[in-house]
Amino acid sequence: MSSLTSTLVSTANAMQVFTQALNVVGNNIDNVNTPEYADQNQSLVAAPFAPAEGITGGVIAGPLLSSRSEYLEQAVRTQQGALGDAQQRTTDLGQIQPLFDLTSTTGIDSAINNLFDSFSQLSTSPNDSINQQAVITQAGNLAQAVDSTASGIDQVSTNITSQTGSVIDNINQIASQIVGINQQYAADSQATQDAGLDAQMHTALENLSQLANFTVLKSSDGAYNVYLGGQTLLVLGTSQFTVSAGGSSNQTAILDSQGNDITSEINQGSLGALIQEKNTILPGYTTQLNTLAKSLADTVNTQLSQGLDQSGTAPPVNLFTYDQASDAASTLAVTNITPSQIAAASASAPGGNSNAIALAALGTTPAINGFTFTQYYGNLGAQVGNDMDDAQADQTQSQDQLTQAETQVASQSGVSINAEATKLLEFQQAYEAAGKMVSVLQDMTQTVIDMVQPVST
Amino acid sequence: MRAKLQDVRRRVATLRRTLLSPSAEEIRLHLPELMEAVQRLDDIQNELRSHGARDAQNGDLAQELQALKKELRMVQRLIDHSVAFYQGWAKLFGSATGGYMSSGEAAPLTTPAVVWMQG
Repeated sequence: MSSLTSTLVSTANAMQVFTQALNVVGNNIDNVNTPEYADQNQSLVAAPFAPAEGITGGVIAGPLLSSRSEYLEQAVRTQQGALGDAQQRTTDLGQIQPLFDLTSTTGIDSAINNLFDSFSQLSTSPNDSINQQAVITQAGNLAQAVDSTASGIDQVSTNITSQTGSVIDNINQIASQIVGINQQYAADSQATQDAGLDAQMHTALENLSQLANFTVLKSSDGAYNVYLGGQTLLVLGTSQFTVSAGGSSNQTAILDSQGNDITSEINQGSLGALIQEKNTILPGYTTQLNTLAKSLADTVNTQLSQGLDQSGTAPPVNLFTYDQASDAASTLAVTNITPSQIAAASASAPGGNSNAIALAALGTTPAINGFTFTQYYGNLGAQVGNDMDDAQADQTQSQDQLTQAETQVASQSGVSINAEATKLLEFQQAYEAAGKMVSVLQDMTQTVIDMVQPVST
Repeated sequence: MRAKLQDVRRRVATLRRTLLSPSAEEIRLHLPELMEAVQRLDDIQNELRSHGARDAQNGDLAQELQALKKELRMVQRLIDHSVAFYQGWAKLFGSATGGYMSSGEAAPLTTPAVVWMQG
Protein backbone atom coordinates (compact mmCIF):
# COMPACT_ATOMS: atom_id res chain seq x y z
CA MET A 1 0.00 0.00 0.00
CA SER A 2 1.42 3.38 -0.87
CA SER A 3 2.08 5.90 1.82
CA LEU A 4 -0.59 8.13 0.27
CA THR A 5 -3.18 5.36 0.52
CA SER A 6 -2.06 4.62 4.07
CA THR A 7 -2.51 8.24 4.98
CA LEU A 8 -5.97 8.32 3.44
CA VAL A 9 -7.01 5.14 5.31
CA SER A 10 -5.63 6.56 8.51
CA THR A 11 -7.45 9.81 7.99
CA ALA A 12 -10.67 7.98 7.17
CA ASN A 13 -10.36 5.95 10.38
CA ALA A 14 -9.74 9.07 12.38
CA MET A 15 -12.74 10.79 10.83
CA GLN A 16 -14.89 7.82 11.74
CA VAL A 17 -13.58 7.79 15.29
CA PHE A 18 -14.10 11.48 15.83
CA THR A 19 -17.62 11.18 14.42
CA GLN A 20 -18.23 8.52 17.05
CA ALA A 21 -16.78 10.81 19.71
CA LEU A 22 -19.06 13.60 18.55
CA ASN A 23 -22.01 11.22 18.83
CA VAL A 24 -21.03 10.54 22.43
CA VAL A 25 -20.81 14.25 23.16
CA GLY A 26 -24.17 14.78 21.47
CA ASN A 27 -25.63 12.01 23.57
CA ASN A 28 -24.29 13.68 26.71
CA ILE A 29 -25.88 16.96 25.73
CA ASP A 30 -29.19 15.27 24.90
CA ASN A 31 -29.22 13.68 28.33
CA VAL A 32 -28.11 16.69 30.32
CA ASN A 33 -31.42 16.72 32.19
CA THR A 34 -31.84 12.96 32.47
CA PRO A 35 -31.83 11.96 36.14
CA GLU A 36 -28.82 9.86 37.07
CA TYR A 37 -27.27 10.14 33.62
CA ALA A 38 -23.49 10.05 33.78
CA ASP A 39 -21.35 11.65 31.12
CA GLN A 40 -19.74 9.17 28.74
CA ASN A 41 -16.27 9.77 27.36
CA GLN A 42 -15.08 8.24 24.11
CA SER A 43 -11.58 6.90 24.62
CA LEU A 44 -9.22 7.15 21.65
CA VAL A 45 -6.47 4.57 21.22
CA ALA A 46 -3.39 5.06 19.05
CA ALA A 47 -3.26 2.45 16.30
CA PRO A 48 0.02 0.74 15.31
CA PHE A 49 1.92 2.70 12.67
CA ALA A 50 4.16 0.88 10.19
CA PRO A 51 3.67 2.26 6.65
CA ALA A 52 6.09 -0.17 5.07
CA GLU A 53 3.91 -3.02 6.17
CA GLY A 54 0.67 -1.27 5.34
CA ILE A 55 -0.15 -0.55 8.96
CA THR A 56 -1.75 2.83 8.77
CA GLY A 57 -1.56 4.20 12.31
CA GLY A 58 -3.95 6.91 13.37
CA VAL A 59 -6.53 6.45 16.10
CA ILE A 60 -9.26 3.94 16.72
CA ALA A 61 -12.14 4.11 19.14
CA GLY A 62 -11.67 2.36 22.46
CA PRO A 63 -14.46 1.34 24.83
CA LEU A 64 -16.74 3.96 26.30
CA LEU A 65 -15.60 5.05 29.73
CA SER A 66 -18.21 6.19 32.13
CA SER A 67 -17.07 9.02 34.31
CA ARG A 68 -19.38 7.71 37.00
CA SER A 69 -17.62 6.45 40.01
CA GLU A 70 -19.35 3.93 42.19
CA TYR A 71 -17.47 5.42 45.11
CA LEU A 72 -19.06 8.78 44.53
CA GLU A 73 -22.46 7.22 43.97
CA GLN A 74 -22.16 5.32 47.22
CA ALA A 75 -21.41 8.57 49.07
CA VAL A 76 -24.70 9.99 47.80
CA ARG A 77 -26.62 6.80 48.55
CA THR A 78 -25.34 6.77 52.14
CA GLN A 79 -26.71 10.26 52.67
CA GLN A 80 -29.98 9.34 50.96
CA GLY A 81 -30.34 6.56 53.51
CA ALA A 82 -29.67 8.89 56.43
CA LEU A 83 -32.18 11.37 55.05
CA GLY A 84 -34.84 8.68 54.52
CA ASP A 85 -34.35 7.57 58.11
CA ALA A 86 -34.62 11.10 59.54
CA GLN A 87 -37.64 12.02 57.40
CA GLN A 88 -39.50 8.91 58.51
CA ARG A 89 -38.79 9.58 62.20
CA THR A 90 -39.83 13.22 61.86
CA THR A 91 -43.13 12.23 60.26
CA ASP A 92 -44.00 9.50 62.77
CA LEU A 93 -42.84 11.32 65.90
CA GLY A 94 -44.81 14.30 64.65
CA GLN A 95 -47.92 12.16 65.28
CA ILE A 96 -46.74 11.15 68.77
CA GLN A 97 -45.64 14.52 70.10
CA PRO A 98 -49.18 16.08 70.32
CA LEU A 99 -50.21 13.16 72.54
CA PHE A 100 -47.72 14.41 75.13
CA ASP A 101 -48.54 18.09 74.94
CA LEU A 102 -47.62 19.39 78.40
CA THR A 103 -49.50 22.64 77.83
CA SER A 104 -52.83 20.96 77.10
CA THR A 105 -55.66 21.38 79.59
CA THR A 106 -57.10 17.99 78.67
CA GLY A 107 -53.88 15.97 78.82
CA ILE A 108 -52.45 13.64 81.43
CA ASP A 109 -50.46 16.37 83.15
CA SER A 110 -53.49 18.50 84.03
CA ALA A 111 -55.60 15.38 84.77
CA ILE A 112 -53.08 14.30 87.45
CA ASN A 113 -53.10 17.77 88.99
CA ASN A 114 -56.91 17.89 88.90
CA LEU A 115 -57.19 14.53 90.66
CA PHE A 116 -54.92 15.57 93.53
CA ASP A 117 -56.67 18.97 93.68
CA SER A 118 -59.95 17.07 94.10
CA PHE A 119 -58.48 15.17 97.07
CA SER A 120 -57.39 18.51 98.52
CA GLN A 121 -60.91 19.87 98.01
CA LEU A 122 -62.33 16.74 99.65
CA SER A 123 -60.21 17.35 102.73
CA THR A 124 -62.02 20.68 103.28
CA SER A 125 -65.38 18.95 103.50
CA PRO A 126 -64.86 15.17 103.59
CA ASN A 127 -68.50 14.14 103.70
CA ASP A 128 -69.70 16.49 100.96
CA SER A 129 -71.12 14.29 98.20
CA ILE A 130 -70.17 16.88 95.55
CA ASN A 131 -66.52 16.70 96.61
CA GLN A 132 -66.70 12.91 96.74
CA GLN A 133 -68.19 12.79 93.24
CA ALA A 134 -65.51 15.22 92.00
CA VAL A 135 -62.82 12.73 93.02
CA ILE A 136 -64.48 9.98 90.97
CA THR A 137 -64.97 12.34 88.02
CA GLN A 138 -61.35 13.51 88.04
CA ALA A 139 -60.14 9.92 88.39
CA GLY A 140 -62.25 9.05 85.36
CA ASN A 141 -60.78 11.98 83.41
CA LEU A 142 -57.28 10.85 84.27
CA ALA A 143 -57.99 7.26 83.23
CA GLN A 144 -59.45 8.52 79.96
CA ALA A 145 -56.46 10.78 79.28
CA VAL A 146 -54.03 7.91 79.91
CA ASP A 147 -56.11 5.51 77.78
CA SER A 148 -56.30 8.07 75.00
CA THR A 149 -52.53 8.57 74.95
CA ALA A 150 -51.88 4.81 75.04
CA SER A 151 -54.32 4.18 72.20
CA GLY A 152 -52.75 7.07 70.24
CA ILE A 153 -49.37 5.36 70.50
CA ASP A 154 -50.97 2.06 69.50
CA GLN A 155 -52.52 3.72 66.45
CA VAL A 156 -49.17 5.12 65.31
CA SER A 157 -47.64 1.69 65.92
CA THR A 158 -50.30 0.09 63.71
CA ASN A 159 -49.66 2.69 61.01
CA ILE A 160 -45.96 1.87 61.20
CA THR A 161 -46.69 -1.81 60.62
CA SER A 162 -48.72 -0.88 57.57
CA GLN A 163 -46.00 1.46 56.26
CA THR A 164 -43.39 -1.24 56.81
CA GLY A 165 -45.35 -3.53 54.50
CA SER A 166 -45.46 -0.81 51.83
CA VAL A 167 -41.73 -0.14 52.12
CA ILE A 168 -40.97 -3.86 51.82
CA ASP A 169 -43.15 -3.98 48.69
CA ASN A 170 -41.21 -1.04 47.25
CA ILE A 171 -37.89 -2.71 48.02
CA ASN A 172 -38.96 -5.87 46.21
CA GLN A 173 -40.26 -3.83 43.30
CA ILE A 174 -36.98 -1.94 42.93
CA ALA A 175 -35.07 -5.23 43.19
CA SER A 176 -37.22 -6.47 40.32
CA GLN A 177 -36.25 -3.41 38.22
CA ILE A 178 -32.56 -4.05 38.93
CA VAL A 179 -32.97 -7.70 37.89
CA GLY A 180 -34.66 -6.50 34.69
CA ILE A 181 -31.68 -4.29 33.83
CA ASN A 182 -29.24 -7.08 34.73
CA GLN A 183 -31.14 -9.33 32.32
CA GLN A 184 -30.54 -6.81 29.53
CA TYR A 185 -26.85 -6.75 30.43
CA ALA A 186 -26.78 -10.56 30.35
CA ALA A 187 -28.54 -10.71 26.99
CA ASP A 188 -26.32 -8.17 25.29
CA SER A 189 -22.80 -7.31 26.47
CA GLN A 190 -23.03 -3.96 24.64
CA ALA A 191 -25.90 -3.01 26.94
CA THR A 192 -23.41 -2.38 29.76
CA GLN A 193 -22.31 0.68 27.77
CA ASP A 194 -25.85 1.95 27.32
CA ALA A 195 -25.96 5.24 29.19
CA GLY A 196 -29.75 5.12 29.40
CA LEU A 197 -29.72 1.73 31.12
CA ASP A 198 -26.94 2.95 33.38
CA ALA A 199 -29.08 5.92 34.38
CA GLN A 200 -32.04 3.62 35.09
CA MET A 201 -29.87 1.38 37.23
CA HIS A 202 -28.54 4.26 39.33
CA THR A 203 -31.98 5.79 39.72
CA ALA A 204 -33.19 2.44 41.05
CA LEU A 205 -30.24 2.23 43.45
CA GLU A 206 -30.82 5.78 44.71
CA ASN A 207 -34.50 5.06 45.26
CA LEU A 208 -33.55 1.91 47.15
CA SER A 209 -31.09 3.84 49.32
CA GLN A 210 -33.93 6.00 50.65
CA LEU A 211 -35.64 2.85 51.87
CA ALA A 212 -32.83 0.77 53.41
CA ASN A 213 -29.07 0.37 53.70
CA PHE A 214 -27.38 -1.97 51.26
CA THR A 215 -24.14 -2.57 49.44
CA VAL A 216 -23.65 -3.01 45.71
CA LEU A 217 -21.05 -5.09 43.97
CA LYS A 218 -20.67 -4.86 40.23
CA SER A 219 -19.71 -8.16 38.66
CA SER A 220 -17.37 -8.53 35.71
CA ASP A 221 -20.28 -9.05 33.30
CA GLY A 222 -21.67 -5.63 34.30
CA ALA A 223 -24.50 -6.96 36.48
CA TYR A 224 -25.21 -5.22 39.80
CA ASN A 225 -25.52 -7.48 42.85
CA VAL A 226 -27.33 -5.94 45.79
CA TYR A 227 -26.93 -7.03 49.42
CA LEU A 228 -29.58 -5.67 51.77
CA GLY A 229 -28.08 -4.57 55.07
CA GLY A 230 -24.70 -5.45 53.58
CA GLN A 231 -25.15 -9.20 53.95
CA THR A 232 -28.50 -10.43 52.68
CA LEU A 233 -28.81 -11.13 48.98
CA LEU A 234 -31.54 -9.10 47.34
CA VAL A 235 -30.31 -9.28 43.76
CA LEU A 236 -27.70 -11.63 42.32
CA GLY A 237 -27.37 -11.14 38.59
CA THR A 238 -30.71 -12.07 37.09
CA SER A 239 -32.08 -13.63 40.30
CA GLN A 240 -34.18 -11.80 42.86
CA PHE A 241 -34.47 -12.78 46.51
CA THR A 242 -37.60 -11.24 47.98
CA VAL A 243 -37.75 -9.99 51.54
CA SER A 244 -40.86 -9.87 53.69
CA ALA A 245 -42.15 -8.37 56.93
CA GLY A 246 -43.03 -10.55 59.86
CA GLY A 247 -43.09 -10.36 63.63
CA SER A 248 -45.91 -9.69 66.05
CA SER A 249 -48.24 -6.74 66.50
CA ASN A 250 -45.69 -5.19 68.89
CA GLN A 251 -42.46 -6.01 67.08
CA THR A 252 -41.40 -5.85 63.45
CA ALA A 253 -39.20 -8.52 61.94
CA ILE A 254 -37.72 -8.40 58.44
CA LEU A 255 -37.20 -11.79 56.88
CA ASP A 256 -35.01 -12.83 53.97
CA SER A 257 -36.15 -15.16 51.19
CA GLN A 258 -35.35 -18.16 53.41
CA GLY A 259 -37.35 -16.77 56.32
CA ASN A 260 -34.27 -15.82 58.33
CA ASP A 261 -34.59 -12.77 60.58
CA ILE A 262 -32.42 -9.96 59.17
CA THR A 263 -34.00 -7.11 61.19
CA SER A 264 -30.77 -6.15 62.95
CA GLU A 265 -29.01 -5.59 59.61
CA ILE A 266 -31.41 -2.82 58.54
CA ASN A 267 -30.42 0.43 60.21
CA GLN A 268 -30.81 3.12 57.58
CA GLY A 269 -33.44 4.52 55.27
CA SER A 270 -37.13 4.73 56.04
CA LEU A 271 -37.24 0.99 56.81
CA GLY A 272 -34.46 1.41 59.39
CA ALA A 273 -36.47 4.21 61.02
CA LEU A 274 -39.71 2.20 60.99
CA ILE A 275 -37.98 -0.73 62.67
CA GLN A 276 -36.42 1.50 65.32
CA GLU A 277 -39.73 3.21 66.02
CA LYS A 278 -41.72 -0.01 66.20
CA ASN A 279 -39.23 -2.08 68.18
CA THR A 280 -37.57 0.50 70.42
CA ILE A 281 -38.95 4.03 70.53
CA LEU A 282 -42.70 3.43 70.86
CA PRO A 283 -42.38 0.47 73.27
CA GLY A 284 -40.17 2.74 75.41
CA TYR A 285 -42.92 5.37 75.61
CA THR A 286 -45.57 2.73 76.30
CA THR A 287 -43.52 1.13 79.07
CA GLN A 288 -43.11 4.46 80.83
CA LEU A 289 -46.80 5.25 80.43
CA ASN A 290 -47.66 1.83 81.89
CA THR A 291 -45.31 2.49 84.81
CA LEU A 292 -47.03 5.82 85.46
CA ALA A 293 -50.54 4.34 85.22
CA LYS A 294 -49.76 1.34 87.43
CA SER A 295 -47.85 3.32 90.04
CA LEU A 296 -50.46 6.05 90.26
CA ALA A 297 -53.36 3.59 90.48
CA ASP A 298 -51.61 1.40 93.06
CA THR A 299 -50.50 4.36 95.18
CA VAL A 300 -53.96 5.97 95.29
CA ASN A 301 -55.73 2.63 95.82
CA THR A 302 -53.37 1.71 98.67
CA GLN A 303 -53.89 5.05 100.43
CA LEU A 304 -57.67 4.83 100.00
CA SER A 305 -57.71 1.27 101.36
CA GLN A 306 -56.06 2.49 104.56
CA GLY A 307 -58.89 4.95 105.30
CA LEU A 308 -62.55 4.79 106.22
CA ASP A 309 -65.46 5.87 104.03
CA GLN A 310 -68.49 7.93 105.01
CA SER A 311 -70.11 4.95 106.74
CA GLY A 312 -66.98 4.41 108.87
CA THR A 313 -65.92 1.22 107.17
CA ALA A 314 -63.01 0.33 104.92
CA PRO A 315 -63.96 0.96 101.28
CA PRO A 316 -65.15 -2.28 99.62
CA VAL A 317 -63.69 -1.41 96.20
CA ASN A 318 -60.65 0.38 94.79
CA LEU A 319 -60.89 3.67 92.88
CA PHE A 320 -58.74 2.54 89.95
CA THR A 321 -58.47 -0.76 88.14
CA TYR A 322 -56.28 -2.09 85.31
CA ASP A 323 -55.70 -5.50 83.77
CA GLN A 324 -51.97 -6.05 84.24
CA ALA A 325 -48.74 -4.10 84.56
CA SER A 326 -47.83 -4.57 80.90
CA ASP A 327 -51.00 -2.84 79.64
CA ALA A 328 -51.89 -0.69 82.66
CA ALA A 329 -52.12 2.49 80.56
CA SER A 330 -54.53 1.16 77.96
CA THR A 331 -56.76 -0.60 80.52
CA LEU A 332 -56.74 2.00 83.30
CA ALA A 333 -60.32 2.69 84.43
CA VAL A 334 -62.40 3.75 87.39
CA THR A 335 -64.33 1.01 89.21
CA ASN A 336 -68.02 1.20 90.12
CA ILE A 337 -67.09 2.89 93.40
CA THR A 338 -69.79 5.23 94.74
CA PRO A 339 -69.16 8.75 96.16
CA SER A 340 -69.90 7.66 99.73
CA GLN A 341 -67.24 4.93 99.43
CA ILE A 342 -64.40 7.43 98.96
CA ALA A 343 -62.34 7.00 102.15
CA ALA A 344 -61.59 10.55 103.30
CA ALA A 345 -61.08 9.65 106.96
CA SER A 346 -58.20 7.79 108.52
CA ALA A 347 -58.78 4.61 110.50
CA SER A 348 -57.86 6.41 113.69
CA ALA A 349 -60.30 9.31 113.16
CA PRO A 350 -63.56 8.18 111.55
CA GLY A 351 -65.54 10.97 109.93
CA GLY A 352 -62.41 13.15 109.63
CA ASN A 353 -60.29 14.30 106.69
CA SER A 354 -56.86 12.84 107.47
CA ASN A 355 -56.88 10.34 104.65
CA ALA A 356 -58.02 12.99 102.14
CA ILE A 357 -55.07 15.15 103.24
CA ALA A 358 -52.72 12.16 102.83
CA LEU A 359 -54.20 11.51 99.37
CA ALA A 360 -53.69 15.13 98.33
CA ALA A 361 -50.08 14.96 99.56
CA LEU A 362 -49.37 12.08 97.18
CA GLY A 363 -49.39 14.63 94.36
CA THR A 364 -46.20 16.23 95.66
CA THR A 365 -44.50 13.10 96.97
CA PRO A 366 -41.78 11.37 94.93
CA ALA A 367 -43.33 8.13 93.72
CA ILE A 368 -41.42 6.82 90.69
CA ASN A 369 -37.62 6.82 90.61
CA GLY A 370 -37.55 9.82 92.91
CA PHE A 371 -40.02 11.84 90.83
CA THR A 372 -43.58 12.89 91.57
CA PHE A 373 -46.24 11.67 89.13
CA THR A 374 -46.34 14.98 87.25
CA GLN A 375 -42.53 15.19 87.15
CA TYR A 376 -42.31 11.65 85.81
CA TYR A 377 -44.87 12.42 83.12
CA GLY A 378 -43.07 15.71 82.39
CA ASN A 379 -39.84 13.78 81.85
CA LEU A 380 -41.61 11.44 79.44
CA GLY A 381 -43.07 14.39 77.53
CA ALA A 382 -39.63 16.01 77.41
CA GLN A 383 -38.12 12.79 76.09
CA VAL A 384 -40.69 12.69 73.27
CA GLY A 385 -39.91 16.32 72.52
CA ASN A 386 -36.18 15.66 72.48
CA ASP A 387 -36.62 12.66 70.19
CA MET A 388 -38.61 14.87 67.82
CA ASP A 389 -35.99 17.62 67.98
CA ASP A 390 -33.26 15.07 67.26
CA ALA A 391 -35.19 13.72 64.27
CA GLN A 392 -35.68 17.22 62.88
CA ALA A 393 -32.02 18.11 63.45
CA ASP A 394 -30.99 14.84 61.78
CA GLN A 395 -33.24 15.65 58.85
CA THR A 396 -31.67 19.09 58.41
CA GLN A 397 -28.19 17.63 58.83
CA SER A 398 -28.84 14.76 56.42
CA GLN A 399 -30.25 17.15 53.84
CA ASP A 400 -27.10 19.27 54.16
CA GLN A 401 -24.83 16.25 53.84
CA LEU A 402 -26.79 14.98 50.84
CA THR A 403 -26.42 18.35 49.16
CA GLN A 404 -22.72 18.26 49.96
CA ALA A 405 -22.31 14.72 48.60
CA GLU A 406 -24.20 15.57 45.40
CA THR A 407 -21.95 18.59 44.92
CA GLN A 408 -18.91 16.41 45.42
CA VAL A 409 -20.18 13.98 42.80
CA ALA A 410 -20.84 16.75 40.32
CA SER A 411 -17.42 18.29 40.89
CA GLN A 412 -15.52 15.04 40.31
CA SER A 413 -16.60 14.40 36.71
CA GLY A 414 -14.48 15.02 33.67
CA VAL A 415 -11.32 16.22 35.38
CA SER A 416 -7.83 14.99 34.66
CA ILE A 417 -6.18 12.85 37.31
CA ASN A 418 -3.42 15.39 37.94
CA ALA A 419 -5.85 18.24 38.36
CA GLU A 420 -8.05 16.03 40.50
CA ALA A 421 -5.20 14.97 42.77
CA THR A 422 -4.12 18.57 43.27
CA LYS A 423 -7.66 19.66 44.09
CA LEU A 424 -8.07 16.73 46.43
CA LEU A 425 -4.99 17.63 48.46
CA GLU A 426 -6.08 21.26 48.63
CA PHE A 427 -9.44 20.17 49.97
CA GLN A 428 -7.84 17.90 52.54
CA GLN A 429 -5.67 20.74 53.83
CA ALA A 430 -8.56 23.20 53.88
CA TYR A 431 -10.85 20.80 55.73
CA GLU A 432 -8.12 19.93 58.19
CA ALA A 433 -7.59 23.59 59.02
CA ALA A 434 -11.31 24.34 59.30
CA GLY A 435 -11.84 21.18 61.36
CA LYS A 436 -9.21 22.26 63.89
CA MET A 437 -10.78 25.70 64.22
CA VAL A 438 -14.24 24.25 64.69
CA SER A 439 -12.89 21.84 67.28
CA VAL A 440 -11.41 24.78 69.22
CA LEU A 441 -14.74 26.62 68.96
CA GLN A 442 -16.59 23.57 70.26
CA ASP A 443 -14.27 23.30 73.25
CA MET A 444 -14.61 27.00 74.03
CA THR A 445 -18.40 26.89 73.68
CA GLN A 446 -18.58 23.95 76.06
CA THR A 447 -16.42 25.88 78.55
CA VAL A 448 -18.82 28.82 78.41
CA ILE A 449 -21.80 26.45 78.79
CA ASP A 450 -20.15 24.91 81.85
CA MET A 451 -19.60 28.39 83.30
CA VAL A 452 -23.34 29.16 83.12
CA GLN A 453 -24.36 25.55 83.72
CA PRO A 454 -26.91 26.16 86.52
CA VAL A 455 -29.20 27.88 84.04
CA SER A 456 -28.58 25.83 80.94
CA THR A 457 -29.49 22.49 82.53
CA MET B 1 -22.60 38.97 75.66
CA ARG B 2 -25.53 37.51 73.78
CA ALA B 3 -24.76 39.71 70.78
CA LYS B 4 -21.22 38.33 70.72
CA LEU B 5 -22.52 34.80 70.81
CA GLN B 6 -24.91 35.59 67.96
CA ASP B 7 -21.98 36.98 66.01
CA VAL B 8 -20.05 33.75 66.56
CA ARG B 9 -23.04 31.69 65.46
CA ARG B 10 -23.51 33.84 62.37
CA ARG B 11 -19.90 33.22 61.33
CA VAL B 12 -20.23 29.47 61.90
CA ALA B 13 -23.56 29.38 60.01
CA THR B 14 -21.89 31.08 57.06
CA LEU B 15 -19.23 28.36 57.05
CA ARG B 16 -21.97 25.70 57.17
CA ARG B 17 -23.61 27.15 54.07
CA THR B 18 -20.26 27.28 52.32
CA LEU B 19 -19.53 23.65 53.17
CA LEU B 20 -22.56 22.52 51.20
CA SER B 21 -20.88 23.40 47.94
CA PRO B 22 -17.35 24.56 48.67
CA SER B 23 -14.09 25.07 46.91
CA ALA B 24 -10.88 24.71 48.90
CA GLU B 25 -10.28 28.42 48.39
CA GLU B 26 -13.68 29.34 49.85
CA ILE B 27 -13.01 27.24 52.93
CA ARG B 28 -9.63 28.91 53.40
CA LEU B 29 -11.26 32.32 53.08
CA HIS B 30 -13.42 31.44 56.07
CA LEU B 31 -10.50 30.73 58.37
CA PRO B 32 -10.03 34.39 59.43
CA GLU B 33 -13.76 34.49 60.19
CA LEU B 34 -13.33 31.49 62.45
CA MET B 35 -10.34 33.14 64.12
CA GLU B 36 -12.59 36.11 64.87
CA ALA B 37 -15.18 33.73 66.31
CA VAL B 38 -12.53 32.20 68.57
CA GLN B 39 -11.58 35.71 69.72
CA ARG B 40 -15.24 36.52 70.54
CA LEU B 41 -15.59 33.38 72.63
CA ASP B 42 -12.34 34.18 74.39
CA ASP B 43 -13.75 37.64 75.25
CA ILE B 44 -16.92 36.06 76.60
CA GLN B 45 -14.93 33.66 78.78
CA ASN B 46 -12.91 36.56 80.17
CA GLU B 47 -16.07 38.55 80.90
CA LEU B 48 -17.60 35.61 82.71
CA ARG B 49 -14.43 35.10 84.74
CA SER B 50 -14.14 38.76 85.75
CA HIS B 51 -17.83 39.52 86.39
CA GLY B 52 -18.90 36.06 87.53
CA ALA B 53 -21.36 33.82 85.80
CA ARG B 54 -24.33 35.06 87.80
CA ASP B 55 -24.93 38.05 85.54
CA ALA B 56 -24.98 35.73 82.56
CA GLN B 57 -27.40 33.29 84.06
CA ASN B 58 -30.47 33.87 82.03
CA GLY B 59 -32.51 31.78 79.65
CA ASP B 60 -31.62 33.77 76.54
CA LEU B 61 -27.90 33.21 76.97
CA ALA B 62 -28.32 29.51 77.67
CA GLN B 63 -30.57 29.20 74.62
CA GLU B 64 -28.04 31.01 72.44
CA LEU B 65 -25.25 28.77 73.71
CA GLN B 66 -27.24 25.65 72.89
CA ALA B 67 -27.99 27.02 69.43
CA LEU B 68 -24.29 27.71 68.87
CA LYS B 69 -23.38 24.24 70.11
CA LYS B 70 -25.86 22.72 67.68
CA GLU B 71 -24.56 24.83 64.79
CA LEU B 72 -20.98 23.79 65.56
CA ARG B 73 -22.01 20.14 65.76
CA MET B 74 -23.62 20.36 62.31
CA VAL B 75 -20.52 22.02 60.84
CA GLN B 76 -18.31 19.41 62.49
CA ARG B 77 -20.36 16.61 60.93
CA LEU B 78 -20.15 18.21 57.49
CA ILE B 79 -16.38 18.49 57.87
CA ASP B 80 -16.07 14.92 59.18
CA HIS B 81 -18.14 13.69 56.27
CA SER B 82 -15.99 15.56 53.77
CA VAL B 83 -12.74 14.42 55.34
CA ALA B 84 -13.92 10.79 55.18
CA PHE B 85 -15.03 11.31 51.61
CA TYR B 86 -11.71 12.77 50.46
CA GLN B 87 -9.71 10.18 52.38
CA GLY B 88 -11.53 7.45 50.48
CA TRP B 89 -11.16 9.36 47.26
CA ALA B 90 -7.42 9.79 47.90
CA LYS B 91 -7.06 6.04 48.43
CA LEU B 92 -8.78 5.38 45.12
CA PHE B 93 -6.56 7.86 43.34
CA GLY B 94 -3.46 6.65 45.13
CA SER B 95 -4.08 3.04 44.14
CA ALA B 96 -4.99 4.04 40.60
CA THR B 97 -1.84 6.07 40.08
CA GLY B 98 0.72 4.43 42.37
CA GLY B 99 -0.65 0.96 42.95
CA TYR B 100 -0.39 -0.66 46.35
CA MET B 101 2.47 -0.76 48.83
CA SER B 102 3.86 -3.96 50.30
CA SER B 103 1.70 -3.39 53.39
CA GLY B 104 -1.39 -3.66 51.22
CA GLU B 105 -2.24 0.02 51.63
CA ALA B 106 -2.93 2.17 48.62
CA ALA B 107 0.06 4.22 47.53
CA PRO B 108 0.01 7.77 48.89
CA LEU B 109 -1.44 10.34 46.59
CA THR B 110 1.11 12.58 44.96
CA THR B 111 0.58 15.67 42.92
CA PRO B 112 2.54 16.82 39.94
CA ALA B 113 5.05 19.52 40.82
CA VAL B 114 7.28 21.78 38.82
CA VAL B 115 10.49 23.19 40.27
CA TRP B 116 11.89 26.33 38.69
CA MET B 117 15.55 27.04 39.07
CA GLN B 118 16.86 30.39 38.14
CA GLY B 119 20.39 31.70 38.08
